[in-house]
Amino acid sequence: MTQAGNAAPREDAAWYETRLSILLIIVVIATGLLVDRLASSETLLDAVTKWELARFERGETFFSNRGNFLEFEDRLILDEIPKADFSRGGAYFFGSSDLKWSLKTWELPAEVRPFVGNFGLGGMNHTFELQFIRHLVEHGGLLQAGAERNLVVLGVAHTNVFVAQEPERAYFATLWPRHGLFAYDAEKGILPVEISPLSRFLRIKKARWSGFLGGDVNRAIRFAVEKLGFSISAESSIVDDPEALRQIARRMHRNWEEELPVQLGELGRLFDYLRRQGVPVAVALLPHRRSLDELPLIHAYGDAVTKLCAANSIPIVDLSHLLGDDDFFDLSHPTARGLARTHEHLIEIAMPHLRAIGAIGSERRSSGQGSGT
Amino acid sequence: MSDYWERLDRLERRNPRLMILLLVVLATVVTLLLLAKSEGAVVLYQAF
Repeated sequence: MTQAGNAAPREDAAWYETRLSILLIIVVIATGLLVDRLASSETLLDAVTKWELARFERGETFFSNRGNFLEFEDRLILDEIPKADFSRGGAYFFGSSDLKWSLKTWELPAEVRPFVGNFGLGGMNHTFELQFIRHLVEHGGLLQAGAERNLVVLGVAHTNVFVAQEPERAYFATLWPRHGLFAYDAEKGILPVEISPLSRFLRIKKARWSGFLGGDVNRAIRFAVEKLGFSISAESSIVDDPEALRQIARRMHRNWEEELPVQLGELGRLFDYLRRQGVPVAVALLPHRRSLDELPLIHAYGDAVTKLCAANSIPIVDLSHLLGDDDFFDLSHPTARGLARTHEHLIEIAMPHLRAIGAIGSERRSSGQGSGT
Repeated sequence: MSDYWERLDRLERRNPRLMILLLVVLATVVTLLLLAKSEGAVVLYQAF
């Protein structure tokens, strides 16, 4: 075979490989663009949310309000808070998971929604709450409208006491560094990470992509598992057994006698901080299962927080017995019916303030069909 | 091992389009896995 005869097939092969490489690059870029498009699609989000809410209303699943993200908290930290307009003031709710899943902010009228923040985070105690609020005030511009134009509503419960062990391994501590946008220190709290605008942009994009893909895979798996008749939560099988639930709560309440004074001290520090900032504060004692009434921490916490609020002239609304046991989906999170009641009562706390700052007309009802998360 | 490569080579010669399709699928799956990778502890459902 001549040299010219060998050259032609080699050129063909090289051209073939070049085309194949270009094709693969196009596939990678197109996949990325498609995921980016879907992850930011309001149409897709609305459809998925509608589907999940319908299942939640039928009692088939739990609605965690996580949007196009893996978790409620990612949606809050990466989407809702950065987009929030704090320049006009508003009413902001803080608490643990029992607070974050007690509000139906997606049903608020569109013109009211920007003034109401559901800033609950899973696994919170009062130490973490103070760190979160300080972060929003000192780095997030929460009070830029003037402190008095804001209302902080603290949704508190016995659950704020039993998550205090091993703070460095707590959900709150691991949540913030997750995407490389913040750091966390047990003493200093949440710390912004100094990175270039490009890095920040890419990290947020990456978080959106992974949240969208992971979230929808998770949705699909949950749907399949629930359709097959298995329960997602280990508690689901014992929600009708009061003694079994008390056993779970007792395990969570371990060391409560040591931890309660610590957390009350932290709540007092939180009150002091907000008073120094000049922010109006209200407290809501969140509902718990009545079958837990006999546990000592339930009353010890409720009584102590009531006294602390009285000593600080902070109004407190006792919603602890608002729901019946069958209004809970698990140990402490309400069903759709329970959620309707908690939402109504919690929003009612904020109504006078929302009227006072002009966020809502005096004739408007507390809830109605709206949009948003 | 070389036997596998030879069989793969024969398959490519017989079904070049199928091989390209498999490559495209593989590239798509790997891209999706890379995009889906997240860091840190994730608690999908807190029971407290």
